[in-house]
Amino acid sequence: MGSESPDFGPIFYLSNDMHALEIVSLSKAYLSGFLKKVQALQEISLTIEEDEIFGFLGPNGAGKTTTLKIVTGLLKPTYGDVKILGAPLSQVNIRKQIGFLPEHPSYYNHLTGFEILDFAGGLCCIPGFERKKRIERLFDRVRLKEVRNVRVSEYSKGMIQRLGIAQALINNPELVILDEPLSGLDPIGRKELKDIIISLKDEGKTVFFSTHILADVEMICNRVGILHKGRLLKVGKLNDFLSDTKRNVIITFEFTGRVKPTLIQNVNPTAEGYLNVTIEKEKQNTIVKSLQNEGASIISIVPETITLEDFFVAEIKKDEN
Amino acid sequence: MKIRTLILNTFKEAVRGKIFLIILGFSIVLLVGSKVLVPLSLGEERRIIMNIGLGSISMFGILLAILIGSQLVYNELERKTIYFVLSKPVKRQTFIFGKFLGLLLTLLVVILILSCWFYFVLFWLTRLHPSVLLVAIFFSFLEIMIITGFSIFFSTFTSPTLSSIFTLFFFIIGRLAPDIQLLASKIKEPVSHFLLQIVYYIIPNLSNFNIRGKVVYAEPVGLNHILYSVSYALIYTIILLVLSCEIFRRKDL
Ligand SMILES: Nc1ncnc2c1ncn2[C@@H]1O[C@H](COP(=O)(O)OP(=O)(O)OP(=O)(O)O)[C@@H](O)[C@H]1O
Ligand SMILES: [Mg+2]
Repeated sequence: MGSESPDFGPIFYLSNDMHALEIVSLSKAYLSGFLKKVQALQEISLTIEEDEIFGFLGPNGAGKTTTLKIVTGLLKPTYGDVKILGAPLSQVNIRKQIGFLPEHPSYYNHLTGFEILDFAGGLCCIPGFERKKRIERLFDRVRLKEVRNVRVSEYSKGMIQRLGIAQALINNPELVILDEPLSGLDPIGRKELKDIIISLKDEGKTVFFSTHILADVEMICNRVGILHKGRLLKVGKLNDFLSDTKRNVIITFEFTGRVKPTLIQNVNPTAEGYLNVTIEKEKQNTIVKSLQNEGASIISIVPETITLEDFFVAEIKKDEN
Repeated sequence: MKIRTLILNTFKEAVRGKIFLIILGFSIVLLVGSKVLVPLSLGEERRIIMNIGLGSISMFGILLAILIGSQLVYNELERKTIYFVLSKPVKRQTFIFGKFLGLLLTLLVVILILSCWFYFVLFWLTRLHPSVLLVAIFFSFLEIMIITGFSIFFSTFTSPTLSSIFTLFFFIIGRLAPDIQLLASKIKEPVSHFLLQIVYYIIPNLSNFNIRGKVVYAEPVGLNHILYSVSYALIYTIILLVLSCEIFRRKDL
């Protein structure tokens, strides 16, 4: 069983037990100021399989960028082990198999978009002829063809971000690592980029990207990891998380009697003139019965929709307690 | 291929920057300086022009090496382009050497342009074009190479301003190296003597590279002197670069 890498770098035969990325007990302490340490990552362990889109979620300062920088060799871990496609970080040439989009990227202002990609291709040792072909295809893919010969200093933020995607894909990488790829893009740009991410998966690549915007992961990720204050709180499928959490139901009722219902607190009036109460699902039957006994007529019972946002906030709150 | 890509990019960056202002500045200084001083020189015009030309080629080269060199690595960190470059399959050592060689290539091209202009002015004013002056220019280039090494070394751990100041400091005491040795030999007190000796061995002896006086007076430059100077410059520069790589390799970006 092996799939041959189409790149010009070393050829890796991917076996069943090899992961796209394997992070074991990764810790990172920054030295900030004199002898003062900031623990940015604490014992993170994470395995990303080939062919998946993994969303790395976390609020600002959670340690997402720190993790991605360690994986791409820009930072040295304080402790722990990282393997990319089975190879250790120290093997520089393994980076021929990865593409990286840094956070808030910037490129040489003295170069044009074409020259940036040509430079990136040169660093990945892609021969000139092949390089030109790929550059043209990438410019099509990220829709920058018209500005290919314009200096990068004149690019808009969205163009820079798209150029960043193109430079990350120049070496046709197995593993694509994107640090907040959707930041700075307008809704159309976001849609396009999400489509690109999905198409990367269709090509058999693995995508590992960070974001703090939950809507980004909802549609496209196979699995997500939630990072908070340097610790990985949860890893898994989004749907599993959401069905795991206890769900509430919202009962809407109309009360015609003069006496207010005594059984329950937190009754809120709705815009239509009804009353509304949110309770745990287990208590639904008892509460409905007693409401009816007191003379209320039930209008509707609906499960409360838990948004990813709520889930995320709940997880982080749980962690803080 | 990687290092070639890095070298060419560094070269492009310099060329698309304001480097031509320096070249233009040089050309004007040389031309005006020669024109003004020659009439005052009472038959010494050859030497005057040669001295001005060789001296200013050296000075402009040093100036550029310090100005560009001290920013090379720092700018990449500051503008975050380093993340883009070093997440590619590029070793940090390759990056440092690429930057260094790119700047050296830039300086070589600049010095060649300046030298052509210098020969043109010299020939125009005196009808002379002695090729021995090229040896002096080559020696200046060796000195500039060491200075480039220093500015890259400092720029791996300090800001451009500090890096320029430190490099300038080493340039100045490097040129004063023989005086330091002389001082050391005069001082009898053992501790100071010892310390001065150490300083003398650490700093680059840049006086080796000043053969401008010699060539202007048409004194011969021995082959041994050339070989010694080339090896000295190479070894000194390589040591600086290896140190730079070691520092840079450990750096968290
Ligand atoms: N160079 C540094 N020196 C000291 N501390 C740092 C450094 N870089 C990051 N940190 C700290 O490490 C922690 C994690 O930072 P990191 O940039 O990885 O977060 P992040 O999840 O990427 O956040 P954001 O969503 O804001 O990009 C933060 O507390 C930050 O203050
Ligand atoms: Mg970040």
